[in-house]
Amino acid sequence: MSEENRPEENHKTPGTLVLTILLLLSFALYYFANWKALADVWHVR
Amino acid sequence: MSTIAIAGTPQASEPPANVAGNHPAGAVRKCDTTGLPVCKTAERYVKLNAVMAVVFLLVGGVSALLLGLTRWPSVHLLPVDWFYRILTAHGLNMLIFWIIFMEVAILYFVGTTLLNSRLASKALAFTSFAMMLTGALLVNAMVFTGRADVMMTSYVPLRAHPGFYLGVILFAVGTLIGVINFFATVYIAKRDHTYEGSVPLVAFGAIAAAIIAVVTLLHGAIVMIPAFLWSLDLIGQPDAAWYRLVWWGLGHQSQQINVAAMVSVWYFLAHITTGAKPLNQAVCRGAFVLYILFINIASAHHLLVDPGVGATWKIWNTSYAMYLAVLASMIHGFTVPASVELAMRKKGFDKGLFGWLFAAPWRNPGFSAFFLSLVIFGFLGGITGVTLGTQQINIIAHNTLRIPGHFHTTVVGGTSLAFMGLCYYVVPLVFRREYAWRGLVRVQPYVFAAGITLMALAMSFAGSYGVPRRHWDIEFSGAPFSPGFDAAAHFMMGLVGVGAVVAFIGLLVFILLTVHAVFLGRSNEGRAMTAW
Amino acid sequence: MEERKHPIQRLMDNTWLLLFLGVVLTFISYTAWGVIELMSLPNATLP
Repeated sequence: MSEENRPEENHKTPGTLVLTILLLLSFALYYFANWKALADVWHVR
Repeated sequence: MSTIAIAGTPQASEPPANVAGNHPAGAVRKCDTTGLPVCKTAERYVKLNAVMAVVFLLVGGVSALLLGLTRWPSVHLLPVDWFYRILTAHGLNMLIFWIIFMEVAILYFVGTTLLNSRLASKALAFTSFAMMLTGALLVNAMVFTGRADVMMTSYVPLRAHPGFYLGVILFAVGTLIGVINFFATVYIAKRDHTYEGSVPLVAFGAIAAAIIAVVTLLHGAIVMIPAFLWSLDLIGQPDAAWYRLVWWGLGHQSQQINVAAMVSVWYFLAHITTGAKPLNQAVCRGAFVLYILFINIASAHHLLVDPGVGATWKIWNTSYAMYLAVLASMIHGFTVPASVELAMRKKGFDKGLFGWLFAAPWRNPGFSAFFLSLVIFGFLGGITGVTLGTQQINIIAHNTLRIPGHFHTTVVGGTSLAFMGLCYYVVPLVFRREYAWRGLVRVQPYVFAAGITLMALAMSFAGSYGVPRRHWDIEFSGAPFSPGFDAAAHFMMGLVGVGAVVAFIGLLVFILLTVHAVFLGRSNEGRAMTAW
Repeated sequence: MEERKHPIQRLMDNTWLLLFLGVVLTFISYTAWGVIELMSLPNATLP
């Protein structure tokens, strides 16, 4: 791999990591709410 | 090479391998701000395509306002026939003409300036532009004269005037010629060694967008040519299920060109506004490869309630394989802000978790448009998209306003906003004109983002109450029954109207400022652009 | 001397192979498979 493709040193990006976790939590909540909404109208016996 | 170090001013990061490029004498100029080479032929067509993009954005924008004011229950502006006519115009002008004219401009810019090459063919550029413009004008003429009230999707058996289908075909073939011209430019740049090693990341993203465009336009040709022949009574009616399947190969995939182009614009704007560099080139490029291979099959989302195709086909195309493209978006969604964070921390804005974010150049409209686009696309568009694309969940959302709620966050809050941010650099760098009323320019991305977010969220909530999309009157006035929508649904539809008005104001401000800058703005020829 | 490239890097540098794969995969996974599903539907019978 050429020089420019080599990852740089010191890749600490904690702020972005928090934003990413926030995104995943929002997704989990929204996804769960939608399955719940589906379960409320579509009864499986 | 000399570069000018002004905050908010783009700089060429790496000199090209063959500094002279492959430009004929007199056909290239050096950008006064970045030092990058600008092919004069390409520059002319970048300008032409960008201007037409903004013209069709205005047509689509006025249509959007009329639609917003019609779906706002207490205003209910348009009569029924004009509602569907304007809805057809809105979809085509916004999703196809504005975006694709802009994308062709981006391809010509990337292929020539970033690869330090001449444009492969002036004749192809002219042919492409002439066909695209003729096609777009023909489609608009058909729609506004009431001869194509078939909505953007033009599902058979709805039938429009042959001129409508011909216009779409001309536009699609014209775009394909532009894309071929771009690929030819990539080819001659590599042949003439105008750059060293791999193409720059932004160029790689543009190549991804161009590949997706080829797939899209092939589907367009496959579906539109039979529809055109049918409208002339030369063949029988195409099968409706077949038509929907292939049409979405055009309709949805054209939005995937947007995604790839928008992500390239994110990398570009992140770099020129904060000096950010991709954390890891291989990972970012790998994510674009995932787009090329897997994003197009997402078209199957539109057929999730179609009875003709089976569950295996649906789930494979919208979940298992499609999630590889979602993974790509998540990679970009992480690496773009992370590269900004890293750049800002290196500049000394290292305080706490978000010191870098608060210190970011929020007054620079290129940055604010890019970052707001990233947040709206990721948090609202991404989350709703993956959820609505789940086969089981789709049954409670299909054909409700939740779907437009989703895609207004991706293609409007995401792509259009990012393209607006791009224009705040394209006009000073390519047109070499400065924006006036800079305070207003700084506010514009926020107004537009706020309006579109309010509108899209209200659409999503209204859709959750069952409000249908593409519907003139949810009261069903004069019908023997009442659908009995919740009062909250009506409130949300009011918010849709308010959001649409705010977003329209943001859009109008963008158009007026840009048109003023292009035609009446102060020239910056011979010197660097004024930093944002 | 030219550095040896990783196969994935070689794929990423090969625009034409990417173009080919992008077109073919979509046509197989979405279009052709979808059309085959539609063509294999039995005709509806009148009640």
